[in-house]
Amino acid sequence: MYISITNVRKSFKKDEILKGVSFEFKDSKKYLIVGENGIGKSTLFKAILNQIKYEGYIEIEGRISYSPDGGALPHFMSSYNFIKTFSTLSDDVVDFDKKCDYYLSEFNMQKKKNSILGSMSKGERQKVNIIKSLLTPSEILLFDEPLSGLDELSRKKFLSMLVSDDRMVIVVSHEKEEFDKRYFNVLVLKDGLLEVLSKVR
Amino acid sequence: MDYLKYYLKYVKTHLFYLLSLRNVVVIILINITCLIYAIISSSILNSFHLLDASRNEYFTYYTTNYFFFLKIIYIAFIIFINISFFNKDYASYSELFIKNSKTKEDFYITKYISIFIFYFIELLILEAFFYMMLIIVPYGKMYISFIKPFIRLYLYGVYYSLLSSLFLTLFNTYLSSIFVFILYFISFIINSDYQDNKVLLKIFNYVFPFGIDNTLVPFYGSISLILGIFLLTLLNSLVIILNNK
Repeated sequence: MYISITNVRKSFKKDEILKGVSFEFKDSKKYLIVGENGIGKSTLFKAILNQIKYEGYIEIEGRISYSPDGGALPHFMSSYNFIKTFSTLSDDVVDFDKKCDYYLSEFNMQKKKNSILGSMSKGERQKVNIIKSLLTPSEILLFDEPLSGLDELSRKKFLSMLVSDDRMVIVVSHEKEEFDKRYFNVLVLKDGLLEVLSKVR
Repeated sequence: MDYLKYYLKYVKTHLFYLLSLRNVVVIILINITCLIYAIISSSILNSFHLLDASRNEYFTYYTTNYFFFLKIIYIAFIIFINISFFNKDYASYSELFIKNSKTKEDFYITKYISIFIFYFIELLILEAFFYMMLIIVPYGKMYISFIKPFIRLYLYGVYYSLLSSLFLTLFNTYLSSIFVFILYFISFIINSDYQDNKVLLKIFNYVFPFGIDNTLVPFYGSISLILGIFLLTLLNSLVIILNNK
């Protein structure tokens, strides 16, 4: 599995956000992308997901599961229904109910299984989004600001889940200090370019 | 995976997104308004003795009024839902669907299918109100079929939905969609001038079609409306393809 990015450029009107980003994400390594607000971190994800037009090349081998930053969730859908619908959109999940129950209990969300998403707090909706991504059959996991809204215990659980997951993980986050550098390669998006800040030994 | 099951899952999810809290409130308000309008214009609140004396007049009054109201409210409703559903911010949920070019196509195709299913269901509700009053109030004219006008009204809905989404994609502002409704309304109001041989007015009436009287037949015939839907489908597809290339 890999994501190979070659000379990717993206401009919004006259403002060039990505100025020729090149990088290769490979194997089941974990990556953390940091950078200031509005620097283009989410834009890079959108380019990887083919959501926006860009210049350059992105080659992907492997199925992607994506968790957006507070993405719009349907108000009247139950959390269980949402997780099931989106995680099984392209491929079926073996033992879905068992796995779903496991993640819901890990994130202390069992009682909210049948609650509608519109009645949930930001943190609870974030947990639902994370569970959906973790359950989706994929080789690559992308998370955009997954820690926002999460309580301390859920953050720890989520981060340990990422570390023990054998898939490639790419996370965009402001909260660099929360991620253990023993497991995460840290990249910084600065001046429209992606640079390596620290590598896992 | 079974293709039908796959597409149904997409449609179901689109419909859930369509039923946002704001849209649900608007749907309820629209339906209540139409029900009240049907009740008032049906003359059910008048004495049945009066009704006995001039059933034909009351029947014509009811059908003419209800269809006149529907021609405006149904299109206004469609424009409103289109604005929220094709709005760029609202449509950010596409991130959850799209993973490659195949899922992107599926996303857009099923989005349009979902919205047309939704408009059809809404029309059935408005039609139910209409028939309900026909059953309750003894006009004695139940043999007249109103299926065709309702089908035509649905086609107008599809036409204006496609036109409004085209404008929204091209100009990227909800005002463009409101502009479509204003032009429809103008076309609807000035249709009495259609005897004039003014070419511009004819083109205007063609681009912004309206239903004549209770039959709702378009000024240039039903075929012109179907042709318009076909052309708008092509234009919308072209714009989406070019936007995503």
